This record gives sequence, C-alpha cells and structure tokens, in this order.
Amino acid sequence: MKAVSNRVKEEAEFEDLLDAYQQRIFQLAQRMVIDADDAADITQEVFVKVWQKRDQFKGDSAIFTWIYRIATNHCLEFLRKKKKRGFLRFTDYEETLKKKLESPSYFDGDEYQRILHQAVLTLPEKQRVVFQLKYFDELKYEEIARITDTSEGALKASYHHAVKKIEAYAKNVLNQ
Amino acid sequence: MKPSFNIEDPSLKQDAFSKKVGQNEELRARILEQTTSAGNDNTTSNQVVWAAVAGVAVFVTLFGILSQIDYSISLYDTTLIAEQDAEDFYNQEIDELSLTELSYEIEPTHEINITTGNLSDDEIANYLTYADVTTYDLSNAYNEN
Repeated sequence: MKAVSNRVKEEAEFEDLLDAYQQRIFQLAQRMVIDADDAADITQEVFVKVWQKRDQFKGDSAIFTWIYRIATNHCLEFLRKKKKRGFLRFTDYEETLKKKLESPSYFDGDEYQRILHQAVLTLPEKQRVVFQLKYFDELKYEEIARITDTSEGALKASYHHAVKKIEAYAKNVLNQ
Repeated sequence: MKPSFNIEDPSLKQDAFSKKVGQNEELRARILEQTTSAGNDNTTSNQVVWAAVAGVAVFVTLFGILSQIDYSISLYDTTLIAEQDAEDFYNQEIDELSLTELSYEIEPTHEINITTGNLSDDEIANYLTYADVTTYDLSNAYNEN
C-alpha cells in the first residue's frame, strides 16, 4: 500500500516537472537540431531518462540543472550521430540545418531571427550550447557551469566569442 | 526590415520555430506513456523473459532425461544383440516371447523381446522350467536347439 502511494506521489511530481520544463527542453532541443520531430524525440528521451534515474538524482543541485544537463548531452549526442551517418559525412550537417531554417515548415520567424539562428549553427557545438543557455534561456553563468561542467570564466569567454561571431556573421549576410 | 542587426534586441529571443497544433499535448502524452506506465511495462517484460527462460529450462531438462533413457535402452539392446549372434536370431521365423512375462526375476529394464525361431512353445517351456532365467544364456539356449 505504501509502495503504491509512493508511486502515485512520484508520478504526480514527475507531471509537475513536465509542466515546468517540457516546453523549455523542447525549445532548447529545437534550437539545437531545428527539426520539431527530432526535438520531440530528444525531449521524450530526456524525460524518460529523468524518470528512470529519479532515484539517482542528488538533491545537491537544482533539478532543472540536472534536466538541462541531460538535455544538452542528448542534443550533442544526436548531432554527433547525425554527422556520422551515411552520406551526411560528405556534407556539412550544419548547412542542412541552415537550409531547413529557410523553410516555413520549420521556421516562421523574421529575417533577423533567421540570421541569428543560422549564425548560431556556425558555432562549435559546445559553444552553441553555452550561447543557447545564456542567450535564450537566460541562465546564470553559475548554472551553466554546473550544467556543462565548465568554469564560469571559460563560459564568459566562450559566450563573448560566440556573440562576436554571430554579429560578424549577421553583418556579412546583411551586407551581401 | 529593421535598420540593423542588434543581438540585444529582445524580439530576437522569441520562439521563432513553426508549431504544430497539439504538439505539446501529444509530446506530453508520449512521455507519460513511456514513463509513468514504464513500471508496468517492465513488469510485463520481466514476466515474459522469465516465462521464456523457464520454458527453455523445462525443455532442456526433458530433452536431457529423454536422451538419457533412449541412450540406456539402445546401449542395452546393442549389448544383448552382440551377445546373442543377432544376425541368425532375427532371420528365424518369429514367435516372440517376452522373458519378463515368464520370469519376474529379470529386471524390467532388461525387458527385450527375443525371437525363438522354430522352437515350439513346449520346448521353450521346457527350457524355462529347468533353467535359471536370471542367468539364462540365450545363445546357449538357442544353440542347444
């Protein structure tokens, strides 16, 4: 009876987590992989893992940090797998993603938003994660440091470089 | 078109990806199906796995036992036939006689049908009356006739 009530409680807590983070994780994944279906798959995998590993969660870090950490790892793993697969090895996968941003079935933002997202795709993957978490999710460096296992100083430098690269990319595109 | 690209513009941070109707609800349902029902699924999977393992174990055990029985019988048959000059034995006109029907001294596991060739029932009865069936040498019995 106690086991059943524990289970019910866990499921209720998990649904609260979904309410709080499903949308944010999906958006992070979609910004990383562009395709909504892929982002949905990643989000699903992330929360299945959260559920499966719920006993291992250590309360010493905020649970959202833990979820973000799983999510960023899944996104990076997804991109690595895509790049290793078949003919994509002979093409630039980021170019494929940039082309998807031209299609209204994937993207319905304005021109500057499109340029921004295309510019983000030119960043190295880990720098892309740092930029996403800081710029779009507006996390603190301290939180990003826990998610990425990187020092705050390195993160600040990485973000600063990312912004410079994006501005240069936008300037280049708009001047053409 | 805005006058210039400004990364500090908050509108750039807005979600700009295309949405499908009911996307979030569908995803939530998928996740819940995979998670909160995961325990039940695992239980079912475990039951299937254990049932399969038990089935294989029973099959292997039965197969082992049957093979052992079959091996014992064939081994015994071969031994007797070798001792009894089986070639001639089987070439006779057959009246079958089970030794175990005539004497309970012979172990049931040694049960074997032998051909008695052209011996009459009376002749066989005569032999069995005077012979110790438990140590009866079949080849001698046959040769004497």
